[in-house]
Amino acid sequence: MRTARAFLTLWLLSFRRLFWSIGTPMLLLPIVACIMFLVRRNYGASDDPVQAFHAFSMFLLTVFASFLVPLCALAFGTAGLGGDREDRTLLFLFIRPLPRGLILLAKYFAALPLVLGFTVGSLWIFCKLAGAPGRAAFDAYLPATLYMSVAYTSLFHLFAALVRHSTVAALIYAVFMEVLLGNVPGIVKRVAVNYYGRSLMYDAGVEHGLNAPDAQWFDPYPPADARTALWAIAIGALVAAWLVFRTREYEEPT
Amino acid sequence: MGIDAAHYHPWKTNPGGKLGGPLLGAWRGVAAVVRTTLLQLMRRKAYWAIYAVGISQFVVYWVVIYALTQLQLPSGTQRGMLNTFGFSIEAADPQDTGYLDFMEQQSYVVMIMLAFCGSLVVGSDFREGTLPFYLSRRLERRHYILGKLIALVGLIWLFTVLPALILFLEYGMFTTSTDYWRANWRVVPSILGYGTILGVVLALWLAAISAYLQKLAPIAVVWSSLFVLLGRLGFMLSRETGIREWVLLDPWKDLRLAGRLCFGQFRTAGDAQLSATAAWILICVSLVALLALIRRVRAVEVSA
Repeated sequence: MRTARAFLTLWLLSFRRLFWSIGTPMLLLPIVACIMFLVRRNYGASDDPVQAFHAFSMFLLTVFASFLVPLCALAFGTAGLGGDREDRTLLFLFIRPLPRGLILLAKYFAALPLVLGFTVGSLWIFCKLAGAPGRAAFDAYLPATLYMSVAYTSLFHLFAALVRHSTVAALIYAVFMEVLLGNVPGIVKRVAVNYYGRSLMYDAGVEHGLNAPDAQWFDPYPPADARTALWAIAIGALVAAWLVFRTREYEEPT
Repeated sequence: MGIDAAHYHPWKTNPGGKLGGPLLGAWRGVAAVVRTTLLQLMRRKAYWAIYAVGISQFVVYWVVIYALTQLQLPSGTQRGMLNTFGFSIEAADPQDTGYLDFMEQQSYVVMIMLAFCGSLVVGSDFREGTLPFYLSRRLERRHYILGKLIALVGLIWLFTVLPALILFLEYGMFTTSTDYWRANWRVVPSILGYGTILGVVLALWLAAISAYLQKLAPIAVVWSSLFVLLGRLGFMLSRETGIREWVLLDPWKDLRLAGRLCFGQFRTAGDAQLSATAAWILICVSLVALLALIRRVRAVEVSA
């Protein structure tokens, strides 16, 4: 009972600290930029609904799924545990009567609702602003957004457990490696979370008018397997983070 | 503890009573800020990891220049490599902009390196309260700001200007005479000019953002939004609306166009027309960043 109460206290504290951090208003800036783009572009005014859906889907694929979703996960996923490592306040967590595994879980479950709130919330706003193509897009792309958000959050928690400057590692992964690996031919792109997310989005969008990509450059993964892969990344990364965090002697506790 | 043990003493005065004369004295403080900043950064393993990623591009260009100048490649392959990397096999070809292409392609890694540096070399001074210690010495606000900016420009040059100059040297050394260097001597001032634009603009923007946001995660969010998101939105708006000026939303595009002013080479006539506007955008935003930075750097922070 005492452990559960300590877990809840840490979860609430971490959630509050993440929510009221400077990262939250800063994350609103790219979302506002996207809103301004959608208002200017006005996809709903298009005469050709199929073409409008395709164009709006391309925006969601290249901007939302490839940039905003990893950015939201980076802002909250690395700031939870990574923030304590950077601020050298890990010791204050370790001296509490709470196993290390539960500390990690409290941090993870504090970040996850914020990541999901920002990604799903911004998808909803974007789809509302896009008008008719947006209504079909929200239902089609919501599952992929949820899967990607959970996978990225777990992965960035693993980065936070592994390296001290996890935000930089996450930035290199999200901005550099995923772009590099996700767009090369062959099976090397299967190490990128974004590849599975885009595969799900292509599968969901084709029936509404999204043109399938050139198979030479992007061969979508089967949707059921992509969902399994994203679950495996999410759970595997979280378990790996737990194993690392449970046993590692951190050099920078204070 | 004696005051000398704390190294807290003024700069040595000259016979006229001035603090080390007009060029020394407190201006040595600028060098001290630069040295401290660079050392603070270079002792981090993460910095060297990013540097390793950044230098991989240099290795690719090094190998390409070696292959172009030393190997007997089939003409089709050679032409393809020249087109891809922007180099010319002729000694005095005005289209020889491979060095500019190299500096442009370093943009992502420079962005990541600066996101890391911003929190460490500027943000931490505010977050951990180091700034009053800097300014309690014989340093003024301008010395502190100048020292930090010079250090950031130096870091940017390590990723862009220095490798580009080494590539230029390499190209000339692999030829049979000094004709390549003499025919293309303008490449050196062009690289330095573009490097100066790149360094000053990025250092000012980063220092201003880091002084206000301080922590790594929000700096990374804002920095990557500026340099990745705006580029994608600008490109899409330009393509879908047919209004070419939208590409100027992208700071990298503005920097590239301003940089090509130094080289005098543009990919299209449209690029040449936009370059002056791009330069003005950079100047205006940099001035705003400088004013914001000056306002933020204070020895004592007064809170309501």
